[in-house]
Amino acid sequence: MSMHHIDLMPATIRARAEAGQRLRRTIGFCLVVALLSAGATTWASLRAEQTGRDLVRLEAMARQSLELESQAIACSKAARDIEAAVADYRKVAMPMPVSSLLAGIVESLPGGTSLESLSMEYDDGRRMANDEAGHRRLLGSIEGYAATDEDVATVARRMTGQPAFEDVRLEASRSRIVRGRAARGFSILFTIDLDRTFMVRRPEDIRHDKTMALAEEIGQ
Amino acid sequence: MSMATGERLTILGTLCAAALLMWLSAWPDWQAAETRQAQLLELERKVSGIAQAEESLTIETRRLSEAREQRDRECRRIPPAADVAGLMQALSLEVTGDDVRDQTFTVMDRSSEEAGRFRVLPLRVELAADFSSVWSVLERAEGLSRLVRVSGLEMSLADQEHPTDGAQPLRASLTLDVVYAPPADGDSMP
Repeated sequence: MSMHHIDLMPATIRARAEAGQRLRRTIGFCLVVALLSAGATTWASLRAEQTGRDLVRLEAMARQSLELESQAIACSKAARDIEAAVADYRKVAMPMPVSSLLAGIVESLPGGTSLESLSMEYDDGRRMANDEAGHRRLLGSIEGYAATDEDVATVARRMTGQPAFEDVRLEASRSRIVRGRAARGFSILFTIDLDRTFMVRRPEDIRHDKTMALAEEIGQ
Repeated sequence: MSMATGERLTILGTLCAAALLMWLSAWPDWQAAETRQAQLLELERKVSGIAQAEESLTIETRRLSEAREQRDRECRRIPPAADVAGLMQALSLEVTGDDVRDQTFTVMDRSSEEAGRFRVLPLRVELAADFSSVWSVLERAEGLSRLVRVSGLEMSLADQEHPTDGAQPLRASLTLDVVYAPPADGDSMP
């Protein structure tokens, strides 16, 4: 029995079938290319839109961040300026009112003691040659008279007990007659360190009747 | 035109259309997205510090507020000019011949510089008056809204040889340092 292959399909039919296959392949290929290109274009467009939106959002946040940073820098500079100005102010101003120091002296006087003279002078370190430069102090002295040596010692002791007064020294004590009575004249020196900080009594507390404006009767 | 040629042309047209689409739309969008992505990374780095910036601003704002409070609490005004006339007017007492016998103001020297930003003009106030009047001038000088430094105070009884009872006349000399900051030196107390 012969095994020859016999093609019974007419050539025209075969050609049409092959043409149909090619057409389907072509259409499929074109569809795939169109879908791929459309997909890539859509993806690129969506990505561009998304990054655009993110950029706008982050730009707003970054602007806020930069604004906060610039505000913090401005605040820091203003604070530094004020702190420097206050530091310079402290170099110039007195740390306490002189009136409160005067009140402190007056309150150190026991009864029967009067002041005849008082002196306080500002020194920024130039007057005392061996002193460190720029060390500010008040150099003070008082002169007056008291009934007894004990009263004179009380004045010096009370002044020493006040935190503002430093280096309180009884410079002289001598006998004298005041309005016909025996009294002790005295001279006290003191310094006040203006670079220290301490509490002083408010000047309103001073009592004028205890000052040298009203010299009290000695020994009364 | 044969069938095969038509198919080739179709494929070629499709490829050209796809390439054109990619060239005109996808490529520019992709490039824009890439550029924005780089910008986003940079911005994210900045934005990540926003919490730190807020914290820093809070700290600096508090520091500024405290500095202002300290300045307002501690410092008196330092004017741009000495205004000695105004100061004399503020410290002037009525010379009655009774409590106040004499009051003299003298500018002692030219102004000098202190602390780099201030000028200081020494002014002496001499008084022949009772203690209350001297005290009043001292309190007024120290109670002024502007900074005036009392750099010297001398008081003595007018007649030390014959002290008497009651209010006695005093000779007093107050040295006041008038502090001011000329505008050329900048803002003295911000």
